[in-house]
Amino acid sequence: MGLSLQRGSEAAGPSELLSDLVNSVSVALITTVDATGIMHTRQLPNTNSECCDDLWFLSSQDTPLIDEVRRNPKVLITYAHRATGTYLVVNGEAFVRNDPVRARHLWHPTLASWLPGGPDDPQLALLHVSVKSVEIWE
Amino acid sequence: LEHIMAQAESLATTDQVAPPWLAARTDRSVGPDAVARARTRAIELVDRDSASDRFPQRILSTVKHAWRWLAHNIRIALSTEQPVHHPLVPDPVGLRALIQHTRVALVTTRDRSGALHSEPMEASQRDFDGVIWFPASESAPVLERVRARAAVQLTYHDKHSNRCVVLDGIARVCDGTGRHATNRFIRVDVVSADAWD
Repeated sequence: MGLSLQRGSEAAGPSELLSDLVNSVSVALITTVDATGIMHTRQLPNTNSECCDDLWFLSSQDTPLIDEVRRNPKVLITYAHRATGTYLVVNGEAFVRNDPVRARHLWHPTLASWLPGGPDDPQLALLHVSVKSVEIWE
Repeated sequence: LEHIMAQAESLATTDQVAPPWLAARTDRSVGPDAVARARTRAIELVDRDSASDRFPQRILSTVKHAWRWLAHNIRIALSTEQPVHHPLVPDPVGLRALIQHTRVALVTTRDRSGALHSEPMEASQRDFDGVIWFPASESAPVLERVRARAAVQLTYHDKHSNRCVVLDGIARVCDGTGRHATNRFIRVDVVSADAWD
């Protein structure tokens, strides 16, 4: 069953539900489209606890993911809650932001396996996803 | 048609992206650039031709073989504990077992404007020979997107192994037959797979 929520339309109930879901998933999937029109789906550690006006992620500059987002900001973020078989599909536009304070705020020691350079690495990329719509599927 | 075929075949040879029957006779190495070019060209060919009703099977077949050969040689460098289930497709990520017990995939498509869409769909079959079928009603918006752009992705989450598998595929809309005559089916030819644990 699918429930579709346009941005801004969700009531308090669904929003809490969505935040709970986002909170319990440690690795999200991000789907981008490269310059040739091919879709790529990759894992991205989840650094969000609330859903969903904006999502923030940390990645690394010089990765194909960041290149693709710079060319084409349209992305899908998928949160799969495996225990309940619930999928949260977030449609949005992603932008690379320069905000070291926010990046440091998002940092968590478990990210070290993904981003060994740490929170102050100049190669760290802060990814901002401006959410257009959210769908939840069971 | 012959012209497009010639292009596809010349791509297969000049870019060192050899279909299996050619690979058997040559021993060339393939770089990532050649892979990217082959994939791009393949999608262009298939996108253009799938827009018409006369979808040229031979091209699909050429492209498919090229991609499978790539998948065999390059993309997948994971474990090989699962048995090979198809003469052209190795099964290092255990696709067959996965598709047998996880019939619901998240199907990602793009509409004409390029926007991404993702929705769960349940496959109609339990076995897997490189093709996955998803039933859909004629009014389902996903059909329009598949008709517009043939490149799709399928995401499977395996609850048992906690593994996530993303498949690249070429999709086309087919009519149902017999008691399924009112249904449509999305046929996805799987061309490559990525897996994470």
